[in-house]
Amino acid sequence: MSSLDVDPRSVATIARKDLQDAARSRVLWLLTGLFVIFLGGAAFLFVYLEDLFAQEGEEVAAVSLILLLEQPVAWLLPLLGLLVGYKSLAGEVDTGSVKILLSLPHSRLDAVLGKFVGRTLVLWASLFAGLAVALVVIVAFYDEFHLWDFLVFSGLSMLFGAVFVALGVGISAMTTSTTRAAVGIVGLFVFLIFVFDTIRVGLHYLLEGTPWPDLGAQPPEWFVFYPRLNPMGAYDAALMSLLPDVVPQAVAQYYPSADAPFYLSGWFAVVILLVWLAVPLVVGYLRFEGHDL
Amino acid sequence: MAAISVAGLTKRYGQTVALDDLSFRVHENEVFGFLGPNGAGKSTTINVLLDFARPTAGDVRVFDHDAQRRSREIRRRTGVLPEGASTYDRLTGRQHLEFVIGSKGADDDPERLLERVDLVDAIDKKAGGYSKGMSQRLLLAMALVGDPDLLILDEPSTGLDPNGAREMRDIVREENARGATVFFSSHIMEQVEAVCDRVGILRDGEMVAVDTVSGLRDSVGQGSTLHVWVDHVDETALERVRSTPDVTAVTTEGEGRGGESAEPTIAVQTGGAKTDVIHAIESAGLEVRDFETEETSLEDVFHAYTTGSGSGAVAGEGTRTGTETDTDPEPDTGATEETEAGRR
Repeated sequence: MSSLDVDPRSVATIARKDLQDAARSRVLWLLTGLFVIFLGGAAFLFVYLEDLFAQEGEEVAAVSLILLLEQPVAWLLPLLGLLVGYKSLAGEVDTGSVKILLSLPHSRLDAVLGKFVGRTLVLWASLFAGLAVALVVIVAFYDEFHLWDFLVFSGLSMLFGAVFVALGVGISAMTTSTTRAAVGIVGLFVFLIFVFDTIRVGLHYLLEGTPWPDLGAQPPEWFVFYPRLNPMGAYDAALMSLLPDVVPQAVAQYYPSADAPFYLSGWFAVVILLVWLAVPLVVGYLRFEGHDL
Repeated sequence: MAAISVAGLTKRYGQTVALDDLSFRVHENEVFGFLGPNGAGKSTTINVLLDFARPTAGDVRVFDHDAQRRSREIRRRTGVLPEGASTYDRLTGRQHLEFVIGSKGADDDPERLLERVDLVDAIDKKAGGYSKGMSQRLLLAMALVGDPDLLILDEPSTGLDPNGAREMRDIVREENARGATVFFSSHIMEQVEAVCDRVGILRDGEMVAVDTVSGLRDSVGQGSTLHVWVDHVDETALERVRSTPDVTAVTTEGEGRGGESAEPTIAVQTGGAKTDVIHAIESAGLEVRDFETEETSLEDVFHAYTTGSGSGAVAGEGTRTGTETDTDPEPDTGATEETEAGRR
């Protein structure tokens, strides 16, 4: 098929079918449960800690709600995004149902995009359930609430989740086998969570003689930028740059403001996230397009 | 304009040649039976028609559209019953049909479609709980969505009981009467002879015969074979039988029925009246002890083309030594069984 053959109606039809399929899957309910537990739990923790600090006469907002919410989301969304995506196309190839899908007037690009949209909506639905519970907890038990912070956090988390669905769907389209796709997402997860930052530490050790810059010292620019190449780092950087009030004083030098070079800006971190979203879909599609079913 | 036109199609998977310079045409509004043993390349051909697989060489057109570059237009006008495709376990029959209806921009009623395939009772049950036959009925209903101009049915009888297979053939006839072209693949001759205008026989990736059902029958053996058990055989009798009108071949067999006695048998291929042959034998002074006729079945035709040395193999030795009168179309795929898995 020729270049970029997309029919938005096909994409929507495939996404809707995928959603219907997922709505009856236990996985969706498991995801929703996890988000509710972790985000609701983080909100309760926030209320509890605020209470504790207030009793001891500390400043209000000594702990940040956003930072507490970010912790579970920063590992849940990558894990669940990959899990939601990795079977999307490979599973259909394995069972042969892809022959139903592609005997209909859909292009293979429609299939990749439709799967991406459908699975992203699945992940978002679970995320929204968790955010809603967190919101209810905050509003019910706490007298101060920054709606803007919460909206920025929700929006960036949606993008961050979509990136990992794209990675999962891309790997699924690339491998066209559930087994290989599973190996792919586990490998990627391990690399991004455990290996990626080790390289930064190693480089700093080679260049500067210590694994990390001294606490409080201004780290080299490359050391600040490097983690942002990773979607987890880019998400964190974007969040901190867009919500500067949230940044803890101790690590402020990692989130430079106005006068920093463009590649250390929050908006550039968002661009990096968008690249992480687009590239797996494009590469996955190209491999899938050339594949004999 | 041909509904399907395949010219010089070659498909190789690595070292394996799945299709070798295959050419054939399917006319508009005909029912074309695409026959061949498992592994002959039927699915590969269909995969190329639908752009599931890309040809190594050759020109494949459906409705005069290039099968690769214009695949979406082709599939918009085509209903497909894919082989070996599982349905979506968690979706109901209705949801499957709604997905296809939405995909094709059609406005069919899911209930009407499932009534046609006799599955309407299970419309709101999840397809994961369907039997193989029910899944096959659902897939057939999905192929019918939007009154397609072309139906591609890949081994549609898989998993169907004889009753289901007959209903499926009825639907093929109805669709054909509506104006649809039907391309129907099978490894069982019986499935295609009842509905197909023409049959193409594929063997090892090559089309070894394309003809009408009766044309194929004629090309392989003339009419029926008459076996006559006699007390003895002599040359005069054979000569008289040979000179009987419409007799095309006369052979003798030493062994008797079931191989248990040594009664001599005269095997006569004739397109004419059997009584003429019996009279000829009796008038030569031989005693006729018993006789039976054997129609050249299409299964024999299929066998002749797909095993041994191809066309003509049956014509010379179309006799059987079995005792049954061969109206039994039971498929004998033992000799040609071969899995297709290695080619996917």
